Amino acid sequence: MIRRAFYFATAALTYALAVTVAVASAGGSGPEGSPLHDARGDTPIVAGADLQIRPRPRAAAAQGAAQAGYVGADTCLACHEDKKNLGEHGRAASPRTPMAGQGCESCHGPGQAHVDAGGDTALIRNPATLAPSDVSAICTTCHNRGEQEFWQGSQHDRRSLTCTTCHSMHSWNSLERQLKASSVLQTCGTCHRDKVAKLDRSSHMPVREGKLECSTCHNPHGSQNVRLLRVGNTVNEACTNCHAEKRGPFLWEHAPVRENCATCHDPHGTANERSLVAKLPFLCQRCHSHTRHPSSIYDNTQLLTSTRLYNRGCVNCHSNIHGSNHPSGHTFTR
Amino acid sequence: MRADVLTATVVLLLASGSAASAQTQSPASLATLHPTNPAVFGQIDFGGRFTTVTGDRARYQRYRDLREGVFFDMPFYHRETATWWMNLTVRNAGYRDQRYLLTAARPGRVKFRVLYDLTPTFISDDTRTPYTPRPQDNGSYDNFGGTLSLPDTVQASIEANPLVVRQQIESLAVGFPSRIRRDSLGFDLTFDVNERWQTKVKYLNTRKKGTIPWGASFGFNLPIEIPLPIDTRTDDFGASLAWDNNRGMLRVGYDGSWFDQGIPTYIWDNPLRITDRTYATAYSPGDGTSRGLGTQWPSNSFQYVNFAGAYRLPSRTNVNGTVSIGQASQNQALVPFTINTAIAPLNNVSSLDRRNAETKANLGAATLNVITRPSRSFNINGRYRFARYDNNTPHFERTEYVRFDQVEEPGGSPEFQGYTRNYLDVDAAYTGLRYTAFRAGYGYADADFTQRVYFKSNDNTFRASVDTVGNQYISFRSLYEFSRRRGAGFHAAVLEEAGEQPGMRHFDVADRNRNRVTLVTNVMPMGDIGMNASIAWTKDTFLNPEQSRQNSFGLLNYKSQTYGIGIDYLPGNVLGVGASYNFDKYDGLSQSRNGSPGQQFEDPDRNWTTDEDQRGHSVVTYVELRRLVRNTEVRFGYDHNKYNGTYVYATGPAYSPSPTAPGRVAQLPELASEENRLSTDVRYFIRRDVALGFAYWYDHYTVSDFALGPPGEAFVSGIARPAVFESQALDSPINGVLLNYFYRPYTSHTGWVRLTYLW
Repeated sequence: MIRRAFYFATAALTYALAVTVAVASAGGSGPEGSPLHDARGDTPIVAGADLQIRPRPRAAAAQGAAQAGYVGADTCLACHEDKKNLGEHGRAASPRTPMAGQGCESCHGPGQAHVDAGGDTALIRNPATLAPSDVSAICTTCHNRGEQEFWQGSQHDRRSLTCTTCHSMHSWNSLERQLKASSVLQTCGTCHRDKVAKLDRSSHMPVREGKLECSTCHNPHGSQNVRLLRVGNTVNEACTNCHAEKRGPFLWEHAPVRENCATCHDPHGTANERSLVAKLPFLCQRCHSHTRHPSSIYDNTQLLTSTRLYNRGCVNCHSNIHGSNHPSGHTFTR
Repeated sequence: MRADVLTATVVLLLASGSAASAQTQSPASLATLHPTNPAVFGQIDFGGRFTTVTGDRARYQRYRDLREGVFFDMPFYHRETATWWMNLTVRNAGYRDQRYLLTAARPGRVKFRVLYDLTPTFISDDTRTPYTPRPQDNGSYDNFGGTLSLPDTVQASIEANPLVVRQQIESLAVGFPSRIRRDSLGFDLTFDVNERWQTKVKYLNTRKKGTIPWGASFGFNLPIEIPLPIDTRTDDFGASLAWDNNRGMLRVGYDGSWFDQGIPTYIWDNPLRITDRTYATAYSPGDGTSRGLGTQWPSNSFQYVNFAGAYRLPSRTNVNGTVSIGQASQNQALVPFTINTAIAPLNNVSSLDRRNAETKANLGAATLNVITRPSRSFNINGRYRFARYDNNTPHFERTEYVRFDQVEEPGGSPEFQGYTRNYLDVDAAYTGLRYTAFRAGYGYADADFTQRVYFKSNDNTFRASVDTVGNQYISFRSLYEFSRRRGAGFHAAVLEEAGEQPGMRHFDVADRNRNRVTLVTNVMPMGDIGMNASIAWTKDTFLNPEQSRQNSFGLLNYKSQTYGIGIDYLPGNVLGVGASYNFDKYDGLSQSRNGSPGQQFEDPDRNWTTDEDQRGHSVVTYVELRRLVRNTEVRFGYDHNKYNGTYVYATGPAYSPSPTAPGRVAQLPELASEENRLSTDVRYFIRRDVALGFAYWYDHYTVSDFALGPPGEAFVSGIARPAVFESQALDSPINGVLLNYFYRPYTSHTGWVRLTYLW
């Protein structure tokens, strides 16, 4: 308890100090004062142009009033009333939302030319006609931290998915997150149907019971981990985020447990007990053929009576298979 | 979220409905919402629930509580003002799977969430045990006390006459529910100091209590299961501070996790023995000690400091990365080698090298991504990852140990596991064709291990993909991958220490060639029809260059195949129909040798193989009728899941597995399970905001499992067949003191009668 209190106190103090520094320095770091914004205040508009650097809404607002080409959201809504953004993007109270800046034109680009040409669609940026990376570039102008900080170069980014593959900015169907489908599971299941099927196996994660969703373990926007796992730096660190009892380090360690939980378990579900990828003892026999301890078939009379075959197989005895702290536990029987 | 958005998009809810199961926690709610006030809307369901289950009620419920009674659900409640908004969700209030989630935010300034969740794991309602104390009706021990006891008279009578074990144990066995409850209480807070600076704090407390079936064997004798008490707590804390502008971001964070084991050790009586003794033999007949001493997962801590950054360089180039430095440690007090009073001095902690585990590892990880798009038709992605688990636990000197609390034996010191891994992936893509991207990539991974059959391994991967997206009629994604993993520095001592064949190669590090193909396509020929198909195919061939084929052991090859197809038909906003089918198949071949040290050890005729074949079929269908009948919404769903598994033995040419039946091998029965789930959900709207409804779920599960199925006529509550000693015949009186936890079929009916109120 003393050690825990020390860690908590250290963490709290460090955190408080960092916040204090951040608050103290915040005054001088606003967009208006940023030389970066000054350097790249104006940006191209239409598809095909450089979408890499885009002013933040507030920055645009500060400069935009004086910028040529912006017509304002009211003008856009005169024709596109059905596209009025009533979600998070429409909350002008937040300085990071489009509506706090140039409104519709924060994402669609300046609309003066489009209006002047009587609605020429070639003169307004429409994400539906852009390359996936260009769509992402628009969104990550603001969504460049938190959940989305590793979008660039993530597995989904590499495979030509983009924000609008899953999300809708104007007409979404989920209660939260502005998803095109009604739930996270349905969104992910559009492509990953094999994983959805596994969730219906007798041994599965509690996804269909509503306790978890795909995004509990995965961050589809990218992560520092493999397989888009949300936390940690390895598969094991992601798993032991909930299964903390199995992370050790133990006095006696089982190599595949230290290496990768997925060596033995399929986290999405299987028909085997405990989501094991194969039935015991056959899973163990993929790596063990102990000669002094026959784990193989015996004969016709012993086949079904072997204590190493029925019930839990090897784990009838080697129950501490994830690691043992017992001085006599090197074979995980204690 | 406002009314017009919701109303306009109701029909789209039906899209990809076939990805959802027939039975979910509760019917979808958004489709039902027709809010008139965009600032306040939500849904409440309350009424009565009725459940009847024939068979394994625990497996039917598993992670949800479907008991009969009054229920209250608030799938969603939203309220907002000009400066604040909040969402509240309440699920199955008052039950063992209740959940409360409150999210509130002042946009641009602060957002916080508070969560309380109770997740049960119903393991079995049929478990029985002769041990005391016993778990209460809630599945937990009121006061465990550290020891699971049997009456001394019972141990003494069995010691005097092992044949009475069945009647003695059976007379003591009492039923209890085996389950775990997991209580999670936590919050997270995001505070935007200003537009640039953001800080986050999160805390989660997780408490687990209950019992699980646990193997507590005393060696080559009766397998024994005990109801292992679970009483643990985990505290997770994290904080981060991030800064960003339109060119990049920086973040520093801290994550700490502390796991507390409430019951680090436990003692249980040996039903076969009342007095302690020891054996000189290397094997443990199981009737030597009167008690066993076990350890549970120890208390531990895990901490990381993280740094992350991203920066947009000129010429469409982005760089992002992370660095993490951390430590994992565990210092639980150690127990003696045994508590067998006949084995002194190893039954005392003074015989240990040290009193506490003192295990610790330094952790390090880093990621660097470089993404550059030098032209609109060409891009390159590069990623480097590093992960290290540097286990620097001090040496623990050990020269002997006690096997199964009965046999004193020589034994070496632990070798602590660790690794260092490096990964490099580079992909180049040509995107010059409209809608289509062609990619080629190369990946390199190497790993340094401690205590594996190879000191090092490296993996070279080549891949190519074609993705067609953005077309309104079709999207198509394809990937082919070939990887070649090779080990270096064969470490024979690892196998020798385990008494293993020198030709054994552990498949997670063994030399391997892998071929992998994935295809996913979606076709939308018309606006109201969507079709999809997918294929995933992987073939692994494991190699053993140091050994001949007949002396190569372990997994030799493995193949997985998944095929899926689905269709959704959504004509207008009143009807939705969909179906999907998925088939997956897993094949593996492993080889072993049934030979004790000496001549048998070298005899290839004693080889045997296991040919594994697992197949799963899944069908998901649904029909939704939205206001097709006046004021009525209806959803039907049907899911079918089927699994079959075989493990087929074959032996070497001259190997006779049975002296009485030379050359003949008895095959194991096929494994099979099947689940059929049907759901119906009907709502009739009396008014715009009030609906009467009912829902009905039917679930039928059958299973056949030679190892975990109830053993037929030999089934006895609290005790499973077969014989006391494995060499005895099937009709011998007993061969296990088990908890009666088996795979059992069930048939269930659950119905809801409910009133829905909408804001």
